[in-house]
Amino acid sequence: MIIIYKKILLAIDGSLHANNAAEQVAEFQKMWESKVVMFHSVKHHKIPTGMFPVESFPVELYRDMEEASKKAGELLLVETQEIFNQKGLSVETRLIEEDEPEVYIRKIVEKENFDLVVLGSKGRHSKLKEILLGTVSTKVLKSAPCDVLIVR
Amino acid sequence: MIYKKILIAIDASNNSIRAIEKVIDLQKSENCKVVMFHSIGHPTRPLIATVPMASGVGSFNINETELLLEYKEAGNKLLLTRQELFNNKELPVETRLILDETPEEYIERIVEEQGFDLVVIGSKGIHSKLSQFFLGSVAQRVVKHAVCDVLIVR
Repeated sequence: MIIIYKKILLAIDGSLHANNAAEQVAEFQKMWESKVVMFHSVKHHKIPTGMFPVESFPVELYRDMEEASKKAGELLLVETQEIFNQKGLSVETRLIEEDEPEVYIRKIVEKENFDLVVLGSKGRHSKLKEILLGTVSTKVLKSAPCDVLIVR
Repeated sequence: MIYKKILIAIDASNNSIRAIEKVIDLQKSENCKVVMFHSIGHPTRPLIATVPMASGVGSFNINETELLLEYKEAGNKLLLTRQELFNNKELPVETRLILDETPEEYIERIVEEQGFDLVVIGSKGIHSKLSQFFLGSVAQRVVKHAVCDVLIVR
C-alpha cells in the first residue's frame, strides 16, 4: 500500500460540500491511516469593533454573538467528528478564533507539516461576498504551500 | 473506493510532473482509469498567428498552419514523454491532444460528458512569471466550474 498523504488538514464550515469533504477524508484515512486535523474558523463572524463609535457600541450584544458563534462552531466540529467516529476513526478538532481559514491554513501547514489540505468547493458565504472577496477555496488555492483537494 | 476515473491536465512544467506522480500513486493503489491531456488551444495562439498578418508586416511572415503543426508536434511529444512515466510502472493511460479548447473549457465539458470523478492539475504552469495570472487562473476556473473533485498539486 502506498501512502500518498500522511497528514491531512480538513477545513469545515457546515456546508454540504464541506460535509462531503469530511466523508472523502474519512475514506483516505481508512486507506492510508493518515493523521487528520479538522478545524472550523469563526473569525469571519466577528464584527470589526472599530466601525462603531465607542459609546454607542453594544458590548453585551457583541459578546453574546461571539459566544453564540463559538458554541455553534464547537457543535459543528462535534457533529462532523461523528462521521469519523462512526467508521472507527479519530480526528483532532480545533476551533479557530483569531484567523480566517486561508490565513490559518497558510500558517499551520508548514509549521505542522501537513501534506494535503481538503475543503469543500462552496462554502456558506453569500454570492455577493464571493464576488467581492473571492471564495475561501480560491484564496487557499493561491496561498497553501501543499497540495489542495477541493471536494464537491 | 476513492476515485474511479481521473482526468489529468498537463503542460511542460515541473508541477505537472509532480501531479503525474501523484496520479500514478493513486492508480497503483486503486486501479482507476486515467486520461491525460495537453491543450494547445491556448487563448494567445490565434493572436500570435493573426497579429503579424493583420498588421501587414511582411517580414514576420508567420504561417498559421505551420505554427499549428509545430504546436501539435510539441504537444504530442510532451504527451509521449509523460506517458513513459506511466509505462515505466506498467500502468495504462490514455492520452489526448486538445486542439481548440483551453484546458478549463475542455475540463468543464468532458468531466460531465465522460463521468470523471477527479481532476488533477499542477498549481503553476509553464508560464512561470505570469503563472499567478495564467495557469493559476486555470486552476481557479477549474475549481469554480468543474462538477467533480479537483486536486491541485504543488
